[in-house]
Amino acid sequence: MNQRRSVALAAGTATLLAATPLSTVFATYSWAIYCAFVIGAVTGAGIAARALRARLWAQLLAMLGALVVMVTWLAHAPHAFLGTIPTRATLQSFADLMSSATADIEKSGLPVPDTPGLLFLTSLGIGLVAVLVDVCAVGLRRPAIAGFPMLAIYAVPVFVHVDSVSPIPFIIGALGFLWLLVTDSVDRVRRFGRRFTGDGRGVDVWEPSPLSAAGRRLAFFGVAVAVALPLFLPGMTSGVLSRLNGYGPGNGPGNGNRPGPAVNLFATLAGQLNNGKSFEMLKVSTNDPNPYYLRFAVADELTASGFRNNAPGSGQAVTAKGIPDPQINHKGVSQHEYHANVTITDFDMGRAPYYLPVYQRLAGTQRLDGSWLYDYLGDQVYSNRSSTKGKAYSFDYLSTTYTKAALRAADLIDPQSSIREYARVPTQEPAQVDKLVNQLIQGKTTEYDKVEAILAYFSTDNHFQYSVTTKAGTSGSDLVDFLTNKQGYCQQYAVAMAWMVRAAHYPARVAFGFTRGSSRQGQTYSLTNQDLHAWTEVYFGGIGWVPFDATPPRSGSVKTDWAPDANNPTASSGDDNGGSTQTPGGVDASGEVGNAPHDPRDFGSGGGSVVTTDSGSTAWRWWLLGAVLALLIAFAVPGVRRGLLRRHRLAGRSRGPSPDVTVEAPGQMQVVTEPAAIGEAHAAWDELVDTLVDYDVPVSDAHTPRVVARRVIKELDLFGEPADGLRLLGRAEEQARYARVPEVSGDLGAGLRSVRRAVAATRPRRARLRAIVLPPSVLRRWRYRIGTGGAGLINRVGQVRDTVVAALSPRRLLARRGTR
Amino acid sequence: MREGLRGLTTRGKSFLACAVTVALAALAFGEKDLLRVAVLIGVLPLLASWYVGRTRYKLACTRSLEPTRTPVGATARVVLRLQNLSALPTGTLLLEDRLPYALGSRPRLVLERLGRRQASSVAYSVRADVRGRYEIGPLVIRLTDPFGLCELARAFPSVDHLIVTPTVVPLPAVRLTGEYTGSGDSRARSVAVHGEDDAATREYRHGDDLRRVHWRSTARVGELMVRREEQPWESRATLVLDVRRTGHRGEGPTASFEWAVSAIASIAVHLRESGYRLRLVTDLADIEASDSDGDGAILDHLAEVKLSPRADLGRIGEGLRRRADGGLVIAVLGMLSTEDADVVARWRWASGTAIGFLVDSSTWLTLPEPARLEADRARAATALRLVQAGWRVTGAAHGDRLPGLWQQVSRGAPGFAWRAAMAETVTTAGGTR
Repeated sequence: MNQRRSVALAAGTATLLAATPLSTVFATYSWAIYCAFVIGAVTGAGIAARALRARLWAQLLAMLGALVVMVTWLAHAPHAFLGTIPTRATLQSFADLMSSATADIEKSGLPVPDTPGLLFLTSLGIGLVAVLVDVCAVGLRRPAIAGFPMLAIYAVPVFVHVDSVSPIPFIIGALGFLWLLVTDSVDRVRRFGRRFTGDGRGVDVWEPSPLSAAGRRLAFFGVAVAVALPLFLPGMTSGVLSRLNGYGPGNGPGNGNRPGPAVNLFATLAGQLNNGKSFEMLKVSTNDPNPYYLRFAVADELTASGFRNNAPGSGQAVTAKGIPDPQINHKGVSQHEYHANVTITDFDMGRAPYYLPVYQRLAGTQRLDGSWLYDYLGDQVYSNRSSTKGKAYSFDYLSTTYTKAALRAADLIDPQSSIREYARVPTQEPAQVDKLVNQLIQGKTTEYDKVEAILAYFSTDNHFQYSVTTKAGTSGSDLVDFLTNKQGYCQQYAVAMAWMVRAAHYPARVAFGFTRGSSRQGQTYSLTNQDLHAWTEVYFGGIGWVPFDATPPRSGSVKTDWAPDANNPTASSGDDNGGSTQTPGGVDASGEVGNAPHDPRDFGSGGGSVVTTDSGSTAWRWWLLGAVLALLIAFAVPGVRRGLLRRHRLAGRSRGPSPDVTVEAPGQMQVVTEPAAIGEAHAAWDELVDTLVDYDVPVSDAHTPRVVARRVIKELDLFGEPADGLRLLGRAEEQARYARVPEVSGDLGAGLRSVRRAVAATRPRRARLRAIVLPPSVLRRWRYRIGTGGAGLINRVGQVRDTVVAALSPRRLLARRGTR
Repeated sequence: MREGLRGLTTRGKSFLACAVTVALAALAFGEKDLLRVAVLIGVLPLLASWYVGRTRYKLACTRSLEPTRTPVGATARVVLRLQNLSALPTGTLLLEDRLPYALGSRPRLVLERLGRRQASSVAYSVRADVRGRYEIGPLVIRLTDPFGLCELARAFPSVDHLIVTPTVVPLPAVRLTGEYTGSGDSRARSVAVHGEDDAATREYRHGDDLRRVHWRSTARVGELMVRREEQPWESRATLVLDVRRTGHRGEGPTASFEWAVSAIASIAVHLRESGYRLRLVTDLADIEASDSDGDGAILDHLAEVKLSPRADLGRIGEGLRRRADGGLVIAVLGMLSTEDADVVARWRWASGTAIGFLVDSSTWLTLPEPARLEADRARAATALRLVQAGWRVTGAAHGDRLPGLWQQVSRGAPGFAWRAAMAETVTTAGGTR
């Protein structure tokens, strides 16, 4: 019983740890407190029931009862008896809470606020999981099965979030589960029999088992593998199922939890433009004197019913080099780097994916975390997790202008290229459109000329008007209706132009964003829902996507050189002309045919000069380099120290360490020692001993030099030069120690070297390497010094303490008084 | 590693299966987060089997029993000495010594860690309530991983034997007539008697004085014979145990046969202590207690002697006669028919004393009164046959104590009790002494 208690506690804690993935769903952390209370109640009830030797069903009942009481108390449910025992009315309030939780789930995006309903739902769910885990792990003694309820908790954030969840909650939860497994297993081993250690000592129950230490190591390794391995798997952005039959995040039926479909941007656009109330959506300030539209999304799939936007799926985190090189190396394309700050006041898609408005040719972002992804196919910044609500961020971008000549000189698009996908039109394309387009582009040769002709078609000369309302038609196709009625707003213009460009077999798509708006203070634009806009983007080979706005000019719209106002084709109109001037010596001076970095074909190949000013990413590299260097130096220190010592000893041998000292006996005899030779011999001997220690040859301090030499020769089977050298060193040391006048004959240095070589040759490579990198002699000496130094320090501290205590002790005074 | 994979427990296998399922689900839904779970529970059994299989320990295990021979009811100490011969410390080892269940529950020990080249001893005691020869071992070592996903069992082949001898009760020292008979060189009773005829000769042994060579005998025999100047008298006893299944009743430790075995063992120990040279004859075995081994061989045999359905009194008699060395014959007999009694009666040496303990095995059963009377009558008849053949016969009923019977054997005139009881029969039979 006592033993199972530890498993029960482990089960409770593991449940709590397994609940951590919920932190990615909730905005605040109050759920954690609720969970802790509920799990504590359940676990306590389980332990108490087992202490009373209740049967399994009774334990289950006890835990469920505790769960109900705790949930009632936490929910402050009305009409509860004593605030804890639920009555019929309380159950009714529970039902209300549940329905409110359902409503909350449907209403709010991620992360969800801690509404009472959601907290009730969470604590009830976690409590049930705790009951299950306890029953499985303790009651049934099958802790492995307890993994399933825990997995159920983990599945909540996994399926709520479209993209990957941060691995940290997973790590915590997994460690909790593994801990439970280890606790149970160690408990099983403990119950197996009497425990004793290798030295024959019995082990008490409370003593930790080395098995759990091994379990910890294995668990950490396993979790590390589990986190690391999926990172190396490429793709996985969409499942096999979605690839097979089109079911997936793009167009699945939304059920509140799963943000399957993207918001229909056309509907949003129409809704916001027709909204009678105008409200500010965001504020943007930029040092660009003439910014283009602030763009946030793109619709690139064309079906018979029109363009459609899909949830982006090819995102890479903006923080992790997800943004491709914004530079365009093409003659006639000029780019300027600018900076912009955006504060979102009320711009929210309502559900994932959340798009973030940026100016085009994004170079880098600030104040955005890794949950924001850059979709290089649609050039949009989005997140499936973080909401745009109240977001403030800034970014660098390259404002890009194109000359007509450059666009005319654009490369042909490779027919095999994947970009041709964007030129696809539905098979049942209305015949009128085809006819109209053929008529328009007749006689035009280049892509740009054709696009310009299509753009020019949407002029007032052709009776096109701007109107927020559209007239209904009878053709069955919105496009044909628009082309017939010639009345619409940006959406119709953008779609029609994109469709027509596609009908001319060029890639085109519809972009969404904001115009500059009508309210401007200095460099800050305040953009409202009325400033939402849609326009067309056409792909030019070697350049990339170029925006064209076919909508008749309104307040806030920008007309560029290459896409002039259809009504006034020659004038380069626009609110502000400053920024659209060419920069002759700009980025492109090479004149060579460049590549379009935003072309998906080239994504990832890098290359070209990077305009990124990302100093943060290089800084950590320096840190890493420094750390590696420091580590290397730290590792090199013992070896270097050993080398210096050896050189010092050998040098000392040749130099003579101390001045000659002549000892004159008072009597008649005069004994002259030769300390130089003695020092030499001692140094050589010390060096020899250190060498032997380095190579792990046992040397005893108790042996005389001669014995040491003899034993080493015998042990290592030395002969010839090294053996002679060893004997010489031994004799020299012997004489230096004992002889009155040492007679050293021979080169000790050469002997040392040959001995060293010979000893090294007898050792395996690892020992040799260790002798060079981490010589044991040096390490041993350091260890000894640290040991004695520590002991000395402790002694000194003790002495000081004693004296201080003695000085301060009142007893001293008493003693004096006593002696007096 | 491969061995470790083979040792995966059910839990480990389920983990692998779950890992595959979850991985497929993760691929199907495109959830990298689920893939993490799949990788984790897939990697864990592999890690566990690596952890278990990596331990290529060389362990030496020696088991010693103190003592190797123990009487029923006494405890013996088993000392296991484990030595780690490898240079790696071991992980947690679960040890289980295989024991027959008669010796109690299997001792289970957890050796938390055995350092490199470290040895450790652990002792446990066993106690058997039934005589026999018990196998101790083999020692099974189980290696387990911290998650309980993989478990390997390895057994040391060495097996030791614990011999549990039958209960030996101390017997009072009594004098038995016919103790000193025969010849030989048993030390205890070699008595040189002055004035004995020294014509006795024996073959020459290395070291004998040549002056003692008895030439006349040498000439007759054809090899060197020496005079025996001392006539060694030897106390010699032959113990006979009746192992016929038909002769005994009851099962298990309370059977009449167990009483018989215990009685033989007690008598053997008692006589051995009094310096007798002993011989034990059962159906197949003919064991002589040598000087070096003491009563060990006899007790060892008694520890595992079993009733034999094919045992035959005639064959026992043959075994007994195979070496006619005279002396005391003590037989512990089961139920005998009158024919059996005739066979047994011939076991007595011409001049020797024969003592028969007639185990009345019918008293080990509860019989109705008429059957009881019938059994008693049959027993009396067989006893009479033996008494008539010159045996001293003592009946042993259920609950009788051997020391009392032993004293009775010495005290009374041969077969006195029986003769008194059967006075009438005796007079009719006539041939008494």
